[in-house]
Amino acid sequence: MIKIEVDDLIKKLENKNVMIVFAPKYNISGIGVELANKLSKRGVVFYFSCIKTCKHLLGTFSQIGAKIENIKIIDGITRTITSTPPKSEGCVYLSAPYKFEEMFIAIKELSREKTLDFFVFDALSTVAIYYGYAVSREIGITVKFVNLLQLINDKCKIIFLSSDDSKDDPLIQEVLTLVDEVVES
Amino acid sequence: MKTIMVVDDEKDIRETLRLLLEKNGYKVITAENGEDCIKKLKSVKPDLILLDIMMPGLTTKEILDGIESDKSNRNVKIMFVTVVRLAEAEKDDILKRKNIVGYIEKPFDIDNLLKKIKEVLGDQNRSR
Repeated sequence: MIKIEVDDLIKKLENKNVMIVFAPKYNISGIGVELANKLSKRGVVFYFSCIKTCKHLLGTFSQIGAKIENIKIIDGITRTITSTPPKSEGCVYLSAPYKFEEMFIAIKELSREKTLDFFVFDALSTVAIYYGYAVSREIGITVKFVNLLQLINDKCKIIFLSSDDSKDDPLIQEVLTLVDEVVES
Repeated sequence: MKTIMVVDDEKDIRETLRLLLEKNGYKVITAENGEDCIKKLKSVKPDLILLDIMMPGLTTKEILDGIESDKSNRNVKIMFVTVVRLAEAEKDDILKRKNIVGYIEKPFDIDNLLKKIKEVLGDQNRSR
């Protein structure tokens, strides 16, 4: 089922640059992994994850035959659990999932190694939970995020994944003003 | 009666677990995030904490450090109940930490959750 949905998403991406995909909470990450797997065969994928750790993702990508050399992972969860994440090729660790400034630095660093073609954001709804709680909430942070990616490669495709029960969150509302396709999965 | 603290930012999950665990003979207290958990631990010492990994506020590491820094919590066991997916080696590492006794992935199977709790707390706590 996910296979068909992901193929559909990739087709839609051909004519779109920024997309948000709403899916049931427990399906989001599966969609993200499958999407990254397929996209890794077409170009370089930056994968932000705050649900699956980098180590877990690398294991999964390896098992399903993704082109791992084309996947760079920005891990927003491991350092919230342990202070000493393992060093892994192609992984950058943020101190917390909502640390956009750290993410921007990670993106710039990673894009020096490989030109970014696709960015999979897994998952905006999870970041929104943390971000809504942060004291210094910054309006327009996702605009900055999209601008940065498009500055690095104006043809890059950005896919935000989100739980379908989080549409009213201000961060998601902000992203909805930026996307050119909304997909219900 | 054994006491379990359910720490989860999602009210539905807290309440579902409360009903389930009370029905199975446990006394249940709830906390909505890490700060609330640490605050409540000053006045109550549950036998087990069911701890979500992804919550706003304190990170998991900060919550664990906060719990462990108070020596009166040394006998409090912690089981993660989370949507976060770790590699097996990472789970093993976490389970080496003193108070951590288990890791359950959401969505969880109720029978499996109760089985794991019974393994940790013993089976003497059946419904009376």
